[in-house]
Amino acid sequence: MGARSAAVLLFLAVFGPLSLLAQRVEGLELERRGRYEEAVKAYRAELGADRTAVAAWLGLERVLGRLQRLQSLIPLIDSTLAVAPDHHFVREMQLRVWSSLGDDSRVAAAARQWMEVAPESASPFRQWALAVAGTGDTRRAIDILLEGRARLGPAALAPELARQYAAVGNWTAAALEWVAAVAADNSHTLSAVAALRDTPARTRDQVVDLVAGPATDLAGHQVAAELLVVWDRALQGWALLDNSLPGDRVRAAAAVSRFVERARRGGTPEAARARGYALERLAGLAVGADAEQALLEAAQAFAEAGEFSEARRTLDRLAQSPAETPADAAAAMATLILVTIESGRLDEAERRFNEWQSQLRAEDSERLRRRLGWGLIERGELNRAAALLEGDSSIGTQAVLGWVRLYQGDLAAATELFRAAGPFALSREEATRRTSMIALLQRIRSDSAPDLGAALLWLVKGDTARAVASLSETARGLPADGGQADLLALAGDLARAAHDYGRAERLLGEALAADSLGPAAPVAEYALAVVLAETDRTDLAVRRLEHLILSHTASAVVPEARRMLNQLQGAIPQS
Amino acid sequence: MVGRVDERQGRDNRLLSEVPTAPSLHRPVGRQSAALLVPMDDSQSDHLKAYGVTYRALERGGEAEWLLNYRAGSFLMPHDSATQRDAALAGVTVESLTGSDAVDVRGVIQANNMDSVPLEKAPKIAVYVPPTAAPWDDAVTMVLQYAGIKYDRVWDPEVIAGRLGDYEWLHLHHEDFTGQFSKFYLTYSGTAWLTRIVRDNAQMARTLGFTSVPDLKKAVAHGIRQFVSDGGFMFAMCAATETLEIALAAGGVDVAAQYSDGTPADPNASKLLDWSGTFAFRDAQLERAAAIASFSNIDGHQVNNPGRRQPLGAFQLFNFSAKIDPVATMLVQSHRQVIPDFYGLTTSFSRATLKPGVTVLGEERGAPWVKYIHGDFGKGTWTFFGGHDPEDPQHQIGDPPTDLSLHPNSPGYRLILNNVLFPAAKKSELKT
Repeated sequence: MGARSAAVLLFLAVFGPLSLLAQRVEGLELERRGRYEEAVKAYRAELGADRTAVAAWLGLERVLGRLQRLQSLIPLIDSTLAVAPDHHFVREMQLRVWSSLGDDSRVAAAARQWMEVAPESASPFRQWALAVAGTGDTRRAIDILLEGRARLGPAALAPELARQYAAVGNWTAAALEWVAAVAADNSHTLSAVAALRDTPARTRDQVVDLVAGPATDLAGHQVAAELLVVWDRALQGWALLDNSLPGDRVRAAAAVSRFVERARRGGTPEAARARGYALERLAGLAVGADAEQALLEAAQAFAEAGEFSEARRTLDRLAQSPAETPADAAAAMATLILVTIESGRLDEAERRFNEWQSQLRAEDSERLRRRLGWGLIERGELNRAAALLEGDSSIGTQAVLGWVRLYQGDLAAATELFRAAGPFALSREEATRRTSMIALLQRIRSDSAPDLGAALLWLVKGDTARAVASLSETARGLPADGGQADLLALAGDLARAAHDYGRAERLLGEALAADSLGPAAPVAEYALAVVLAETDRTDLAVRRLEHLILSHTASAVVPEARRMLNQLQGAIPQS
Repeated sequence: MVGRVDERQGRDNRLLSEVPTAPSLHRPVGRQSAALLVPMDDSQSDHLKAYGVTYRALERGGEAEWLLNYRAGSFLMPHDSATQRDAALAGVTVESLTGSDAVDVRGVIQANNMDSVPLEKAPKIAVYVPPTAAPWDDAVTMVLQYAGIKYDRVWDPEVIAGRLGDYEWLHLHHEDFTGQFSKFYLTYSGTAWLTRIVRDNAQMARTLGFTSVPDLKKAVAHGIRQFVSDGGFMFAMCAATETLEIALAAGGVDVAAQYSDGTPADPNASKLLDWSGTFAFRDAQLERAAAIASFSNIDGHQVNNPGRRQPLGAFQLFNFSAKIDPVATMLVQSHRQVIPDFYGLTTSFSRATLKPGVTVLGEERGAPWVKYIHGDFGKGTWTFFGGHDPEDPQHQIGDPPTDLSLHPNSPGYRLILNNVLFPAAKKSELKT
């Protein structure tokens, strides 16, 4: 006996005569253990005491279904309905049981009886249609729902009809039904978007036209706008909603807020941009601190989307606001400085940074200092970058300063700073880059190498061709086992990444010739295999990878090589 | 243009000649290695590829032994450089044994619930799968690809033509043998993948002279049963298990929804089914609702039946006596005895619908269903494993394929590969 079963029996023993709860627990436990006959008794006992015990009804339906004796539930249902003819739940169950038993005429008769006792209710039509749809006869289900509509009114059963139309692939009819549903009750908006989001691509424009047609109101436009966000057309969605906002500020603000939340989940630059515009509009609908908060968030959304000119424009608007609190001002300035850096205006960014530094949050200050430092590095202004970064002793900033020293050719200082930064500063990728660089610098065995720094700086400046040329030239001046093979392998891999395959192949071959046993060899061989695979020489790539795996068993490159081998041999899907 | 091609070929040839020879692999210094042990306990770095290494050793004409229950079902092979190289490339852990080491291993096996089963021949494998399906659609083809075990694809024409006899082992891709397109017809109406499946199957039915897809699939089910009856090994997962059985029980009864054959299913179909010719199940009730992607109450979990869906638990493998019951023992070799469950169109098998005599290999304790079953039929055997993908428990249509290089120690996938190597065992060992 399992611990759980023992606990149940103990519970039953302690509490003596079975309470309703105990009967239900017993029924569930017996059912779980596959003792269905006894479970039936327990559930029946519970219903004998309380005919409204929904869990017992459901348990009985489940167990009798397993025992293929659903028929035996009918007398209990009938006797319950005889005393409580409008018992909604039991009526539903009656339809479901007859449907499970495959007796369509009884299903229909039960639905008709229900309609008689509840003539104003949509439930009989809804449940009957569901039962019929469950047998796969969606057309008949639609007919039943239309019959209900004829009796109950033009907007009745719209969500149910919408779902059935969608089930038969009639997305335009489904859209029209959702229009009716949200017009009658705008709480259906979420359901409408969830249901229509699966519309096939070819029908989407039609659905949008219907949902946002001239005859539809704001709720319809809202559905259409949110659908467009879901379909990665957020800007179109925003334009649609923006043009249909009502004059009533409260209603308009509610609609825009919903759109903002939907766009926030979009996760694409376009969704972020649309969110920025919506927030800017929301700022116009709000007043005081709410308006400023919306403008600030709009600027941040534009910055997130990479739309720095829009972010700046929004921040300029925010700057004109008279009611700005100091905290908001600092957050706004942090966004503005970031935008200014990303726009390439480093002098202005540095001036603002120096002015506001004391008021910025500490993490904003660190982040902006590093970003500004990288901006100066990218421009080749290494001394200025060093001066800026030296003022901050945080490990993240020290790591960036390490790169400055490297590009200046001061390998000893770079190594020391990278070590001081440790393995956790900044992102994982950045930490990996630092570790790889430390390993390379160790093999070069020199404290100073301005040529190497200058060569690597070309890479930061985005000039891969010059970086490759400079690195290979620097490499040839180094001893074969003193970094030459490593730099040639790095240059070869860079050439490969730039799709200069001929040059990559030559450099990687040269690296292997310089040192076929050292740590650079598996790196070069792997890069060479990638070149071969990317130039459709799969057999040779496979041979290279096999050689690498068998020759450098302890290399960290081996798992990557095995993965590539698996892909080339079709053992795993291409990622 | 020709010149360019020649230039490329010339460069390729140079490169080929430039790939140096790999150094000889590690061998114990001062000890003569007599055998290679492929451990299958937690020291193994890639359990799944270990089966491939063993299979290829057999394929090359070599021999191997399956050491049941010894270090979670390890393999022992004579020392040869090809196997050692293969293992190194695949990232499979192997241990070199001296003659005296091997004697020690045999002593341990003799004294415990363990046994050694000789593997003598790489079985010829067929997978029943539509020609257009990618290997990533199905757990078995996925793991065969990953382990590097060769297989042929067969589909309806090959089965109808009686060509299954060319193979020793047959796996059924997650086919719906009731011919109802996995009952996705209504839910996924209009999707490109379903349209393709419906078109391909309807075309094949016409080509082979059947009036409908359900009729074709019934004939295919009978062909598969004949294969097993004649001595074949069949392994099925997911919906193929349940629908194969329903198709075999159906005979002349219409069990298929109207959309699939133009006529409604017989409302009394459940009562009319004849389960005498099926492998594993009996007395099941069919799911009549065409819009519910569930076939019958054989499946315990009913993943697509909102009112009846059951949560996933974990299943436990039985511990059989290796010396008395080697077949069942082979099928449950694993480094984990309790394995997290995973959904499929058919996730599990209700105990109430199992025929007497079916061997339960894995079950969820206390639950009214089992997961992994096996039995004999005629001269052959069958094994059913519920669920779709052991490493994607909530698999949904459209999910990215599972990358098995991220699950090299998957105990669920090991169970599939146990079935692949099982027919390699010497015939005399398989008769219990």
